[in-house]
Amino acid sequence: MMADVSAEQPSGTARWTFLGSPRLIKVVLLVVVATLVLGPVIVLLRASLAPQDVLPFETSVFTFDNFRQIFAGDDTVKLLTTTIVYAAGSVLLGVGAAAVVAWLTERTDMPGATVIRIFLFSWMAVPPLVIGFGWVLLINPGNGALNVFARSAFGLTSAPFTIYSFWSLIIITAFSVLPTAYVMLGGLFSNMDPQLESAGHVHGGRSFTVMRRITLPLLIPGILSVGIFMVMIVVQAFEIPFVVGLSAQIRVLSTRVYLLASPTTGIPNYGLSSAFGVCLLGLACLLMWVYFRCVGTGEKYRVVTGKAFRPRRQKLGAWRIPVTCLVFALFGIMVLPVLMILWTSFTASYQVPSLAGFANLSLDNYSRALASPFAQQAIFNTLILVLASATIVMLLGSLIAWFSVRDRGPAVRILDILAFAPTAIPPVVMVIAILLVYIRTPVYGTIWILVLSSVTVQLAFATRTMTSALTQLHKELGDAATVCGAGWWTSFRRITLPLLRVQFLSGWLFVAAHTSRDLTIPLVLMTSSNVVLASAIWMMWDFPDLPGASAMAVLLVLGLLTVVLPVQILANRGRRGA
Amino acid sequence: MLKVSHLERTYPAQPGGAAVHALKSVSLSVEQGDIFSLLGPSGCGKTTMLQCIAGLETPDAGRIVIGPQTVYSRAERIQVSASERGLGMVFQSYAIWPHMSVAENVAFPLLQRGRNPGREQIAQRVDEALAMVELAGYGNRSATQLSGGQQQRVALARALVHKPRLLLLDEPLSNLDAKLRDTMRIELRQLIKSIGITAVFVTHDQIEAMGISDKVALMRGGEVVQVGKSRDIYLNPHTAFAADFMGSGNLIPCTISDMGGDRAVATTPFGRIRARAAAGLRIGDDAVLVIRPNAPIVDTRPANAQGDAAQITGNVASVTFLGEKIEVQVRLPGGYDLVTTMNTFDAPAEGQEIHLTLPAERCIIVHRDNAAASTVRDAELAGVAA
Repeated sequence: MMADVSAEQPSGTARWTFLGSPRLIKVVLLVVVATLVLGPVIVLLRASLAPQDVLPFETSVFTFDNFRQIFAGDDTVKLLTTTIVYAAGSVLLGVGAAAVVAWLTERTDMPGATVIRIFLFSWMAVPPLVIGFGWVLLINPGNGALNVFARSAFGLTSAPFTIYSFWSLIIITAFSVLPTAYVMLGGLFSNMDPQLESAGHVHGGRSFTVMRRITLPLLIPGILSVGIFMVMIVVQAFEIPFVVGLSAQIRVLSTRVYLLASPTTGIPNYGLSSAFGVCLLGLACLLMWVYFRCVGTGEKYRVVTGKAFRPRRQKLGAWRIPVTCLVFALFGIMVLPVLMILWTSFTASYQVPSLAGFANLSLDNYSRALASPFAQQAIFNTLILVLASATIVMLLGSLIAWFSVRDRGPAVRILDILAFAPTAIPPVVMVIAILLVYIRTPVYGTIWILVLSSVTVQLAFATRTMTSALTQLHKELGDAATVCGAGWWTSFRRITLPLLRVQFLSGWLFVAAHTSRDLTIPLVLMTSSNVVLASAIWMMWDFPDLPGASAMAVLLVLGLLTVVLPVQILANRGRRGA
Repeated sequence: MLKVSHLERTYPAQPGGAAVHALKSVSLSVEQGDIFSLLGPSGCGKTTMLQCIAGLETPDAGRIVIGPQTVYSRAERIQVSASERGLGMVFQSYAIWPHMSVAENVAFPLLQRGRNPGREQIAQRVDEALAMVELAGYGNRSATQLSGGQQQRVALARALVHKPRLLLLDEPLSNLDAKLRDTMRIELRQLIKSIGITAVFVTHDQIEAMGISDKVALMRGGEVVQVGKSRDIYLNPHTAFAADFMGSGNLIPCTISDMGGDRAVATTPFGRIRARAAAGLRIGDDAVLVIRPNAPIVDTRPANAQGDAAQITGNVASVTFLGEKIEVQVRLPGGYDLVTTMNTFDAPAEGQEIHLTLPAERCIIVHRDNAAASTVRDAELAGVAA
């Protein structure tokens, strides 16, 4: 037996094994992530302190002029108040509705809960850009479809709805907050230990008392932290304020930053734009700090445990039918803009939906769009962008996650913080910073600068997903491979990654969906050669070619749905089985 | 075969905690072919020790030699990585990879470090290894379809398939249910002995350690307290901790009042008892008298105390029925309750007068533990373990 030993010993180390050493990978990761994240932030800070009409590297002058200009007028105060009221209002509506729907689907006997769940989880396939366009077509005061209907039905002289108001902006944003908030709250509601409520019932509490005194107080920290998180998201959001708010002269921080950097007329004012960007960054960081404070206190309650529960379901009784109708009506309204876009995509030129109009519908827009080299280029670029950035960012996130879970050292702490930082950096700010960094390099103008930006923006999400997946994985599974003689890289590739394939795939899909629907990055970095579907839709809309833009939008939504929907249905089935 | 000398490991302080000294200059030596157990309460450093031997944990100082190869030496700046040490290991959770079949799990070690012995050779060795753990024909099953006992056998096959020079086992039986644990313990020992491989076994269960190993190192607070055959530690513990952890017993605080040869007289609350004395004790020392529950010869009538044996009389305070035996609490003069075991069929009545004969060779006087110091240490280590 022991004679075998010498034969089994390594005969010598292979020449390239040092490339697989974790220390080298750690250093490379650190350099890559620092370049991705720190580079733009530093350039942004530099640009905010530079004179207005030059690029940050072309000057050695430091000046506070930009900040002085920002804080001199009343404009900035108004901009900040608008931004905060906008965010708070839409989150209040959106998260409130999401909490009610989550309670109805997870904790009551409302019919159709599965359909609602799949619907809301798949909603990420619909780009905010498309929703914005849909609403413009529905309720613009001139020929918005709903306004036309209302006028002819009730004989009104003026339009009852208008897209160009602060309230419309808030309500439309609330609809886009709802699905995300629902996804976050659903788990919270369904994972709550039913024993906590049973204890209330056993000790004499009636249903309503138990809900008011036990269920609600237990869930409030969770709902609150979701709310603050969503405020953070909405403050950073760009597309809906851009599509809906600008025509209404409603300016928020994110659109202001963009307009200064890419004005419709005149030259870009990178200095002032960066200074506003720094302000938005500050606001986002503040919200992040508040979020972590709240999550910290929420931890006290710990109602969500790892165990899977079958929570007790409240009987709705007589309320069952009206409540169900109400919820489905709500989703009907959510779907309206998409239907409107779908209608427009079949028309030769935009017209209000009518029975008579059905005769004139055709697929011309689709064949026209698919035949044009412009659209073909956009589809091809979108594919490259989505495949490359989702794969790169998930691999990068997995590697960072491995080090942050398994290897605890000062270098890893820095890596962790760097990878998390993009959460606090609004995408529009990040992209303008990236533009400033790369504008003089050959990467600018290619599709790869979009890939680079998407990777940076999605890095925090990828790292967080893989970190939480990896913490669930027993450390001994990797150790076993190491003791068996596997090197670090083999162990990561053969054991860790395959075991995390489900989380990797769902993270990949999330990143892919969000990259393909995002307009911020392609719009800021747009040149003639790197147009993707989202920016193509925007260009055609702006041209204006509403039917063409609608056809492209429908194609994008369909493409996303074919990927997202089967996964959500499968996931829901798996949930049933568990 | 395995030599560990002056191994040190301190875990740096986590936020809100103090640094933990998990290994304090530990030295050990394991002979070729022995099954060596590291036994101790949780947080005693036994798992850290095993991880250091495996190479999964890096010590701060010391030296580890496996066979002819130094795998770690602080002084010589040698550190062989875990994957290059050529060991086999069975993990507490078994760590069977759920995305691979049983055969793929077992074949894994054969394919590492640039080796590929060829398809046939692999199949043959995997079959051999599976047959060895009585899982022949299970190769194509998914690892997730196996029961706990079968998973453990797969883990064992995987740890042995590449004929490692040393087998490490980290509490391999702790996840099995009680009956299965007993059978597996016996099978495991037979298997390891039949291969002739050297094994290091970590456990917190004294029965497991006694049943499986040739030698036991009893650990506490990052130090090895006593090394020896389990029988030796049971019969001749040096300290109250060793006596208490290996088996159970009555630990009676006492003072040594007389000594002669290896015998001493202990003054206890219920009288003076003659017993063997651990090395290093002197007259006047505060010590601990260990009386194992099965040491006293129990009689309902006064017996003649012969030669070296002490005779005490007490009353039965309570009787606990445990199946094969009963546990009897005897109230002794001075108010001390002594626990002793008796045959189930000889159960005395509560309150009955009972006479205990304590032969001197069955009792031993040991060193007191430094209670204050060890409590602090236990708390620290428990903190790390959690």
